[in-house]
Amino acid sequence: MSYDDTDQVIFPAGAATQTSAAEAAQGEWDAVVVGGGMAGCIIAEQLGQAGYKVVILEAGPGKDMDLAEYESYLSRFYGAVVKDNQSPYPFNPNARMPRSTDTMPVNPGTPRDDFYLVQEGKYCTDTTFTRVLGGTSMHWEGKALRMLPEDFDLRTKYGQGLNWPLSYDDLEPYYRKAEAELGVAAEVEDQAYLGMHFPKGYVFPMHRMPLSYLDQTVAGGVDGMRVTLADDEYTLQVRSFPQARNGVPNAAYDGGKGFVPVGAVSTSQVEEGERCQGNTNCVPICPVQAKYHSGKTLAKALGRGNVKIVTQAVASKVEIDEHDEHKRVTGITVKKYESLHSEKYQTYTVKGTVYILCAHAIENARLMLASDMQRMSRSKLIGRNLMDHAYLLTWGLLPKPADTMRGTTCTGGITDLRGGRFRRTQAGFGVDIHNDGWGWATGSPYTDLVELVDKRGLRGRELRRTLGNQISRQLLLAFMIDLLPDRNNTVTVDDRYKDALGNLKPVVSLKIPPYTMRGAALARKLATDIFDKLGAEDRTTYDKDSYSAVEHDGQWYNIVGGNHLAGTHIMGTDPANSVVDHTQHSWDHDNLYLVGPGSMPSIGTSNISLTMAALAFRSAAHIVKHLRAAKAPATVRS
Amino acid sequence: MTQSTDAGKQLRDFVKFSATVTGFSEFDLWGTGQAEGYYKTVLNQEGPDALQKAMASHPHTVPADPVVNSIIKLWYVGVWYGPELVGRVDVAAWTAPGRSGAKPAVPDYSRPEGTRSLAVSGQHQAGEDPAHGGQERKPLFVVSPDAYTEGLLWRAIGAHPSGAKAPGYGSWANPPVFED
Repeated sequence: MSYDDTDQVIFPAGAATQTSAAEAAQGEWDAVVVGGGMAGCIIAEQLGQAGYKVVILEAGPGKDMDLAEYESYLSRFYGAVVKDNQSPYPFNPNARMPRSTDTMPVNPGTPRDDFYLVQEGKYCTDTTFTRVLGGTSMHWEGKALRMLPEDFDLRTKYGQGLNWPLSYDDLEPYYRKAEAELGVAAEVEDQAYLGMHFPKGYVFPMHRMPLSYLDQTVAGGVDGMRVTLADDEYTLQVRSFPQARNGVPNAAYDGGKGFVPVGAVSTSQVEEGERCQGNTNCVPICPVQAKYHSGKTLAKALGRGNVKIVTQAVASKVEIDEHDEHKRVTGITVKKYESLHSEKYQTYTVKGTVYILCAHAIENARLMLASDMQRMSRSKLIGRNLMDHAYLLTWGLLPKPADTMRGTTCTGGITDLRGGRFRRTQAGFGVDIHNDGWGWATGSPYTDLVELVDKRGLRGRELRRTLGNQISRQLLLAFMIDLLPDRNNTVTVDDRYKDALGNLKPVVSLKIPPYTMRGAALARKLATDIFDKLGAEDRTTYDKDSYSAVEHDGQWYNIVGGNHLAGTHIMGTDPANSVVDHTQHSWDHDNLYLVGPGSMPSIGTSNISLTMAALAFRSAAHIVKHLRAAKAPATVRS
Repeated sequence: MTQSTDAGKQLRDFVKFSATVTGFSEFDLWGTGQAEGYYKTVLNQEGPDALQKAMASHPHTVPADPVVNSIIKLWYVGVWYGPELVGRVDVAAWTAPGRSGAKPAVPDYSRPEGTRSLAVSGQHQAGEDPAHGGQERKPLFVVSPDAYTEGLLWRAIGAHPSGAKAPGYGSWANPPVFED
């Protein structure tokens, strides 16, 4: 523990490089985990804790997580001319990731090598996920909302989407585990709405992040506003979001034992990763590691000795014994590349008792499809039901400076329209009040600078004052709208599109349905009402020629990606309607688990990570049972 | 301007001129630690004559000397937007930190490092240090990682550079305060 009561996380020096792919291929592992992101690290840590021998195969670059490495990300971000939301992370031709600059259709027959995600349709999503050690948890914003109880049986309640094979109550204990692991700052009194409930006496690990001055300004107009939908009246209020970043520990946590926040990860003790300092840069990287990333979990796992990791190893094929009646997986073949600057690689097959794919919704599906597993799938749903939140951005100029550009990226929002009977006909949504101004929508504040200097010719003190006055009044409301599962929203593979290692690239097709657009239309109207209430000048414009353009009822909107990819191997009640069961166990391959947001049959209006983490904890308990049955009693063999 | 004139004086003149056009004091500008790097950037990119001409132009001349605009933007955000990029809001959008959803279509100048178009546009990669070394003209680059965190824009708006110089836990709950 450091001077300020933060738990330091020591990453075992050399752990990222000391296990070679050749050694991994010779070893006999209890569990082979593909992907060192949030789901993979939780699974590995839990199985390691149960005494099993685990190897993680990670596609990303192979350095130890130490502060110097982390700060090289930060420095790359500072120095990058294009500061898109992957800019801190090195370009890696061997394990590419989508960038938001890739939003452009790729024409069949003329494959573009510029982009990782191949999109052939007119509508393209700018959604991303991150392929470095730590996965998308390096880049995520850190919002940690639970799903609503009604989200788990949307089909039964509202005749829309799909039911989950488990309920809020089934997942509730694992939500608490996830909130502990991720270190969530929130108050139960704020979060007990729309049916979300907590055991008596439960408190979150840390107190809520204070609402920003901008949130308070918006609350001045919004609190008490009424909206009538499907004969029900909803009263709106600005509410603090639960966040996985270090704040003030709640002394009442865990029956009064309190909570010790987890600090920065490094190979030696460092004084960093304490309380959030307000860097306003959660995405793409928290400079001080106040925000949870899965390195915090990984360091614990590797510290045990029975969990190993092989980096720069791109899982390229799931090997299956087709003659086996249970269609068991016999190994994961990886391409181990030498460096980011070379396409040289060697191939190894790593074998274990159980296999857990934790490579995120798109990569899990891509890997299975590239391994020809759809042929063996009874549901034929691998890669289908791709989901992401549909974001509609609206922006206005407040009458007075409101402290925009300070805080965490987002501290508060409006969540009252996440649930309700109106979901029979239109999507629910959450509203984020963005503390970082219009940046997401327009590229502010740099675009303001160019406007004022180049187009209006402002100079000197007038320029300085005008910038301050203009930017500090910016309000961006981002509406995060539910997108239901649809089997025609897909990840597929196509022999024409391959990456540098010869792995098939993901081909993505995502369309925004009228159900979601009805939510978007309400969102647009609500934004207008909120701007009116606040005396703000509405500056929202949509471009019908953009790749994100969607028409609804004669109006054009731009629907942008949320980086909340899910649903490519959904869970369900039988092998005909789903790819995995409620434990994320493959219906078609007895020793295979698919763990991650791909298993979610719907995503409601909560950012997916907390639910993914809760599901990972729940599945880990089932995988331990599976291993116990499959093997002699577990012993630590390291 | 020739090589024989006093380099120190030229730098001081550059900072003096920059103070007029940016609205920050010479003291503020020296305090960023970027003066020399910026001076060399302009010199390397545009040459001594163009710099001299820009500094001699009246700040409110219409149309403005585009090199003056480049100098102002350089101090404000640490990015060299060459004079040919004057008014290019689309390019600026992608150089700003943050997410990118509804930004304008990606211009050729603004493909991320490592992608193919980069080689075509001759874009600067962080760490190449064009301010001090390369003589090649480049229309768009960040002078250095420090240049980003020393951008004056953030001070002008009563904030801090996104991802640096954080004001502290909970500071965001207070009303804004402007230095000016």
